[in-house]
Amino acid sequence: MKRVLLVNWEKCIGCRTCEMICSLLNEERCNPTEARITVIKFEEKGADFPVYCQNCEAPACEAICPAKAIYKDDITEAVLVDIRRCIGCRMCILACPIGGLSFHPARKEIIKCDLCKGDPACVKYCPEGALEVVSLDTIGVKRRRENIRKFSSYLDMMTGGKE
Amino acid sequence: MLKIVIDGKEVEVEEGLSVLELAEKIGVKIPTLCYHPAVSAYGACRVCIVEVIEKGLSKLTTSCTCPVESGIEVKTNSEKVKKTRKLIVEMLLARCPDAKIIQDLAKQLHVEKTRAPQKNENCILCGLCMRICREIIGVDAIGFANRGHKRKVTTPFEIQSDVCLGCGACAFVCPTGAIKIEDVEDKRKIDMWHTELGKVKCERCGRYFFPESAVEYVKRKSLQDVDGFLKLCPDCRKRVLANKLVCGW
Amino acid sequence: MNGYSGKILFIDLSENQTSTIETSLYSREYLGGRGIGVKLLYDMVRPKQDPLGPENILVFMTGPLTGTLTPSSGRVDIVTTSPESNLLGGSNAGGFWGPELKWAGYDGVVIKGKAKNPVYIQIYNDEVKIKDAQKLWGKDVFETVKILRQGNEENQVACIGPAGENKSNLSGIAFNFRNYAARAGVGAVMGAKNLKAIAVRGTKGSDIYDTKALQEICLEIQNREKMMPLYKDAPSWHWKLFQSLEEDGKAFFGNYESFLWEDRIKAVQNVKEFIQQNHLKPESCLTCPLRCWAHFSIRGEEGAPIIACQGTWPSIAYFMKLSDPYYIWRIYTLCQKLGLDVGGTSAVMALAADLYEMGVISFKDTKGILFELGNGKAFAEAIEKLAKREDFGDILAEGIKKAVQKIGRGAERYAVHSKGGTELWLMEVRPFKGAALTCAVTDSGSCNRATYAFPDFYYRSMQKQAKMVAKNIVGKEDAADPTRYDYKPKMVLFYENMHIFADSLGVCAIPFQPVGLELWSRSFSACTGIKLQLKDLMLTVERIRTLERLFNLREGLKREDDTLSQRLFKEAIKEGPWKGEVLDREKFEAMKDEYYFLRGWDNDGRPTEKTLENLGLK
Repeated sequence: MKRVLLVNWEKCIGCRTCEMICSLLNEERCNPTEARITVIKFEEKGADFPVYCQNCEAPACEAICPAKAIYKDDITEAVLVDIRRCIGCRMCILACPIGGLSFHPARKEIIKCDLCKGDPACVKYCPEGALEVVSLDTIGVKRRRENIRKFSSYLDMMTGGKE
Repeated sequence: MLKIVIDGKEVEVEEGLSVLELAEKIGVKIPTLCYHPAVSAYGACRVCIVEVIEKGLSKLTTSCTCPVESGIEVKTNSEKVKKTRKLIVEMLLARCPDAKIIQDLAKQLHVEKTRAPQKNENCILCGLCMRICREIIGVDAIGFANRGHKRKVTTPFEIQSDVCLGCGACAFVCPTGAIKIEDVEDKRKIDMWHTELGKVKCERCGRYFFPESAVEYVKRKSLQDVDGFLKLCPDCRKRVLANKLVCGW
Repeated sequence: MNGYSGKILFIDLSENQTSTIETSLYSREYLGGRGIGVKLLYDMVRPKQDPLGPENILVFMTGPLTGTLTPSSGRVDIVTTSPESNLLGGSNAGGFWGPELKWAGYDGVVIKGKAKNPVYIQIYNDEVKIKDAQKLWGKDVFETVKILRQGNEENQVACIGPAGENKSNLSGIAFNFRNYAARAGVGAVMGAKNLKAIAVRGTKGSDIYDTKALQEICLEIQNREKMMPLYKDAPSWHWKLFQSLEEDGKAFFGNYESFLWEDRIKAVQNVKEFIQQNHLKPESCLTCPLRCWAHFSIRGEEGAPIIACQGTWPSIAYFMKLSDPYYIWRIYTLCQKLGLDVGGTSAVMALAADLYEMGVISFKDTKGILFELGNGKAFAEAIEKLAKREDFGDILAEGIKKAVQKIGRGAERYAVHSKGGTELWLMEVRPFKGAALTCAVTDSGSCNRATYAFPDFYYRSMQKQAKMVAKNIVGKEDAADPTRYDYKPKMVLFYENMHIFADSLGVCAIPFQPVGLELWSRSFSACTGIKLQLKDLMLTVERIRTLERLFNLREGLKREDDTLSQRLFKEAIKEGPWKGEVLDREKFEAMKDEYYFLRGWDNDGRPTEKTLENLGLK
């Protein structure tokens, strides 16, 4: 069964440990700009929100990639980029409504959340347990839709349209 | 399934692959310059040549364009291949002495100097940029012009392109980095294509983030822009997402 | 370089020049943060310079662990010559500014000279720009941060408010909307240099030597931190602290006067309700699980986070005897906006009220401000004037010791301050002999950063814990009794050392001891690739400590300056759980003797030749 990453926003304390572990695992460096997850802070309002690629059911990036370099992983169903086929046109970056993909400036590659091969590290390192891996059973699907409904107008694209 | 021998090893492979693709699949390394998995093979740079023995006759051919056929024997690094590849790189080095990728290849193959007359080009006329633009992006903005020693890749009539998206894929795939893209304030300049394109200004932060024509391309091909996200740079899209959450906070 | 960023940025505001040096020149011997800070101060500043003059330097130094996966690694240390004490001034702040500086490629920034006109500095990786700050001068902290974040939302901003601009000795340096390096008048030094703000944006990140090891250590440290009693309580600590002060017998009211205030139960109740009604969400500094900050939203007002643990709210409530939580909130926010040290300002207000009541100062002196305990409106007014150095505020802005010297008329009798004249914050030290010793001998620049978590303070409420700690450090459980003078020097040494480690490694002092030095050292090795032996660590700590001492000696410090204000030796506590406690001068001096000996210093508090040789400080 597909698993997705879910955020319980009220639990986030804005510590950015997720950014640290994500960049450390993927780039061998602690660098928020190289992380696949970003904590957006509203310091005056006291709100912190981790944002990342939603690994949509009907990804806009996969649909637009002219080189057909974006695909879904066999096992995790995470949306992945075949770096070898990528032609660097950046259409995927443009097509994503939530800025889920970015271009690594030094390695010149598309980077995005790939769910760490099915066992996301940020979930383990978040001290508050704000990040959760949820299996898409009936309850999981419902929770995912409720979650995404709060921030995106592209609910069906992201969750596959079923309630 | 087809049975062939490659570098002395017997392998079975499905139909439809080129010799280069087969080699990649089984982990045999063959150097390339003008090859890209997303587009058709062209055989322009000649670096990927291998020796193919069929029905007792041996020939040198580019592995990217050579289809795997039943019963062939492939030698990817025989003396003949090595000697010829060395010569090819020697000539490439003479044309583009400053291209790092060619310098590296030369070093690998122990090519020290070139006997051919020296030039100072960066482009090896492999046509990869043209193939990407035509087959993948689909706007066909650039192509070959002229023949012989005057041959070059350029836009029609060598003037500003009216179809170029400014996506930069050509520069990204170019093996020698011959295509330079310059981002200056609100414009993207690609001198080699005599083209200058305006960029879209992010509605929220004011930064110029991508050429307008590329954004239009996405608009045409993509899902409906329900919330106007195409007017925002990707960083601001994250913030706007978070903002929606704050409003419900 | 791994762990460290590798470069220290030097900015000369007089010459409008920037340059960098290699951090490795200092990191071996001085570790980082506070250690490298004091070394740079000692080398670069000639003796007895005017702290507000161009020769003084202002050092912002992170540690090797700052900005890495290591938990609680958001800290930056500030070192300079303090205009309040004319001795070494030091303060420390958390949040995200220090990490961003690391990610921009710098372990620290050193500011020297003085700009001709108000300027601010914008750092973006290798790009360092000194820009005109005319439009920012006069703006409060919140406005300044907002302006400097326009078009650059991830810009981390260190700035001063009007208090720093007017060179008040009670001004601090703010980091974004929340964190502060509040002590020693560091804000005044920045204001004297005409430097309004340093904004940083960094995208290079911190290189890590052993990523696998660091990952394991991170989880271990997180678990240790979650076992701390504070962890569970942290979100409610903002009002629970009041209760714990009561339990420890640390609560006092006014100018260290009364231990019994009939409104104190009401005050705690009011604050508790206020906080519970308006509390939004707990927050942390970089990679810290503790979430000791909390965001408040007061209807109709722009909210700003409130600090827990360091007693800022109790300071306001108890020093000024304010039981109305809206006034406490207003004064807290006022201090945050103006750029003032909340603890120090509250102490000064209490003193002023005391002097007013005793007739030492009058209506005429205060130009109409009615200084009386409980009068929140008057205090708010006075604080504004203190920040702007207007009227009587100009005298109060000097800090307690210099203020009473200016007032004269026997005002010194009422003053309570630590060494050099720095305010004691909400710390009654007469019953807590070990804490008192720390405040007297510390050369760290602010007494609170030496006394944090000292067992004297929690003996009453957590006796078992205090006894266990005492047994571990000095081998005797009963040594934990706060009113004892013996065994304390050794404990003081231990806590000073712990604090130096935390401040030099770039991690927070709050979880430092519970996590344990071993885990932090392992994290250091994982980040930098440098193996630290305990022996080398202890030598490094002694070196840093002794260099702090050498600096102060060079500024003219004498043995008799290692003391607290006279009042703490002359006046016994009148009432409450510690009735009768006072500092015994003879026993106090004996503690100092033992402390000096333990540090390898002579009886005048001067490091011996042998010590200097051992530490490579000749």
